[in-house]
Amino acid sequence: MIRWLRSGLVALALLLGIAPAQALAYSYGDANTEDVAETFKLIEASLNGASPDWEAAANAYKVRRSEIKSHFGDAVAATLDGNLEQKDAKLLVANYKAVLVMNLERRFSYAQKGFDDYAATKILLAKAKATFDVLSPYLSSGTAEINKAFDEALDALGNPGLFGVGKKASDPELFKAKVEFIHGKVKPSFPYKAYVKPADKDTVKETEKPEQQEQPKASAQPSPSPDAKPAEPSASQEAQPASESASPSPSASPEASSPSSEASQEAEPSDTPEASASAEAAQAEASPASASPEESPAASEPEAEPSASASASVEAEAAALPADAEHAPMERIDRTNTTVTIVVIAGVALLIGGALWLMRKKGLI
Amino acid sequence: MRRLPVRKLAWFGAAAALAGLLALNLLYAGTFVRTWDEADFVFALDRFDLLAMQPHFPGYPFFIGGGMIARLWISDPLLALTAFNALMTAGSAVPIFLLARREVGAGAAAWAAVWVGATPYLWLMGSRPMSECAGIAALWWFLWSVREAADRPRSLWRYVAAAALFGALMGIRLSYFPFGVALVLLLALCRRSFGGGRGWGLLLRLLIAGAFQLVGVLGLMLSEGSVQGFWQLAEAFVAGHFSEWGGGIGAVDVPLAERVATVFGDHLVRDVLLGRSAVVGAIASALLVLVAWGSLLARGRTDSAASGSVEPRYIAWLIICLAAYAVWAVLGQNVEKARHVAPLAGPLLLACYIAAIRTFRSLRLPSHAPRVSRAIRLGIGAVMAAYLCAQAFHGVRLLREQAERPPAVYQLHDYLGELREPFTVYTWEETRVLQYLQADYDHRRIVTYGYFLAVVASAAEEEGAGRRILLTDHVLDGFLAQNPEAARLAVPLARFESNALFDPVYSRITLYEWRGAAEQGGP
Repeated sequence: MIRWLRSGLVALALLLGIAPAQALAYSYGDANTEDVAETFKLIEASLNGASPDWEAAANAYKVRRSEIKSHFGDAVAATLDGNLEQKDAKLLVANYKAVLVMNLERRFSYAQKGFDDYAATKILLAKAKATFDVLSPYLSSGTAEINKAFDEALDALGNPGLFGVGKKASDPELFKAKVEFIHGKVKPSFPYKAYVKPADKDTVKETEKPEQQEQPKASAQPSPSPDAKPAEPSASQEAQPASESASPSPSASPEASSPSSEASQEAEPSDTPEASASAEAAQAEASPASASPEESPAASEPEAEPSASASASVEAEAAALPADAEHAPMERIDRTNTTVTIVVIAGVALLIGGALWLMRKKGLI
Repeated sequence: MRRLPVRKLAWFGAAAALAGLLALNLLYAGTFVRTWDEADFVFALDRFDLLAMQPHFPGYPFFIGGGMIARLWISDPLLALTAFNALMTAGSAVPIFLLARREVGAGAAAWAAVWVGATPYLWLMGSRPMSECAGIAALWWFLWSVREAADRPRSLWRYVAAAALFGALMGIRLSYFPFGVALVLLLALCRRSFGGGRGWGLLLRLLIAGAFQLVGVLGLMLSEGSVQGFWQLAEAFVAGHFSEWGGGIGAVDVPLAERVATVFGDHLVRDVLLGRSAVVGAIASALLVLVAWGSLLARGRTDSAASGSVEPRYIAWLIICLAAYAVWAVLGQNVEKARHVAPLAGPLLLACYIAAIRTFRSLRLPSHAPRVSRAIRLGIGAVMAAYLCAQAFHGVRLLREQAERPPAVYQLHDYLGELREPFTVYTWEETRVLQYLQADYDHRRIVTYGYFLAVVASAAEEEGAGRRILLTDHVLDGFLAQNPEAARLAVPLARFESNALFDPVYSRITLYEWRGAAEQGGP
């Protein structure tokens, strides 16, 4: 019996060594946390009350800044920086809430893009839900509806089931409808106010931000305006050098290149007399050519009001587009190196086997 | 006088008693979802989704699988899980019988199953959808298979059975892993029985054990769509656990001595073994005294009818397994919940029963103190019968209370449902049960005091004083641990209570209202 007790205690020690440490002890490790939202909680808590703790808020923000900058753009990061500098607590919190809405949108768009990858889409939806949970105390009504929409979106992802039982097919259309509903309901409550520095940069910032917002929307719904995107950069690029081969180009191009806030309605009637005044030969070319710069200023009008520099909008788009492309690899939570994992597991197994063999040699087991 | 067919009577009596236990479990099957875990399990039958905590990690695949099978029969998920549990408990009488039969013969062994099964705490688990119940049932099967395999260490099939049952046990409740020590000991025995040899048999057995574990894990992985997906999910859990702000404030550091006292004194003895009944406690103590006295008197006498004493090897094995699990329960589990230490109760009860029966039998033999022997023998018999009766009565009473009296969380929900003004209630784990109850008011979980103040302040700004802020006593206690001033603005509204045996942490809920500073005006 003594022998068994001794060997049993050795086995016990071994098991305790490799056992999962406190896996289920007190709190349930929750995968549904969104880092951006957690930082918001910190900032909100430190800035609340009579004596706000700006240092804590600043430190918390610094940790998230690079993520915010890379996903939502330099402008947004600069805005939050500015608010922090000016110690404007209300504005900082309000803008950060708007950033959370942007984050919702970001999670939704990537979920829709990679819809076929069940696990990844689920995690993205969970992070969106976590973001919404942080925003919900500030919503005066409609949270029950939105929670229900989240549940229905989760359902729409389908389910592989447990050993095949409870399998469900996915429904991308329903998912899209639900997430758009959620975003539509939440966005109006949290307006974004770009940082107004005493310089002329504010107009550019304002154009950039709506542009970025529309960008993923446009990619998700390509049908309504198929030519809008390719037409925009091409038209605005063309607008400047005015590559219209038609003769009215010198007069048409300054019109097209600065679709100013004097409204494209004016540009339209001014263009058409121009076009009609043009040479016969060029008329056929001119009308479709002038039609397209008309379209594009009309299209970009609601998006970019005082688009004082079409170059700025081009830049913004150019900045948004490659940034978009950069995002895709960053979304993957692929931080493990499979080789390392295998090597580590093999190493541990070898160690334990060696220890057991040694103990056997010494007659302990 | 015709000799009574004692054995047959004992058999039928025991079978009837066990059938009665099962019937009562099904009759009074739980209609309440009392805890976060139970809500997770019930949701999981509709949609198995680890990320949505349905169920929580590590997934309990075979437990949920069993519930899904039971659902083919009963459509309500809560009742289906409960029925699965009740059937598993009834089925676990078989390995208890088989284990006891080696020591005390068939007739008495049948009653051993009743002895263990009638313990109210273990019995009542069969009427609730908790994974402990099915886990303990699987544990009995596993222990029996190890015992059988240890009889013939060279037989591969017996080992396969033991490994398979261990795989099933892990798939039902992963936190019973310390009982894997039994498998390790079995392997060591096999190794020794091979004598020399190159250890291929050992390697094969190790691989077989590993393979059975993989079955459950594979099921989990596939439920996430792909192995890659499962890995991402696991990483997300690990990351989430460490990034949740304020999550660590809830965990309180309890000194080791207190933990041991709580786990063994409060939970094992008072809750599980005695069911918080003083009467049962008295009877049990009397029994222990009598058995100890009787065995002292009877020592040295051999009983030709009974089999030899239990091989010390298996006693050692059992002690080692129980010790391993006890260490894990004290160090790695939440000490506030009695159910974590429940697996220890079964083998202890069985051991006690076997000791009592053997003492009873050996006291029959001639000795130097016949009258005392006879008296003790009668005493043991009577006390054992009294113990069973007391457990039965107590058990039925508790079962009815569990089925009929709503837990504190339900009472809270009813109260909140009656309130007319808009409000937000902040809770800890009650929020999950409220989610199950589809509460249409605003309820959420909060842990950190600083964040709570911020949210309350901004809500007050936006909505004025229109929305009431309510919080439970657990939240307030958490706040007090962070800031002793926290209770200044909290005014108690209502108090809800239920039996602490069924709801270990949330049996007492006090609802407070957070009155804004303006209202807290002067006297």
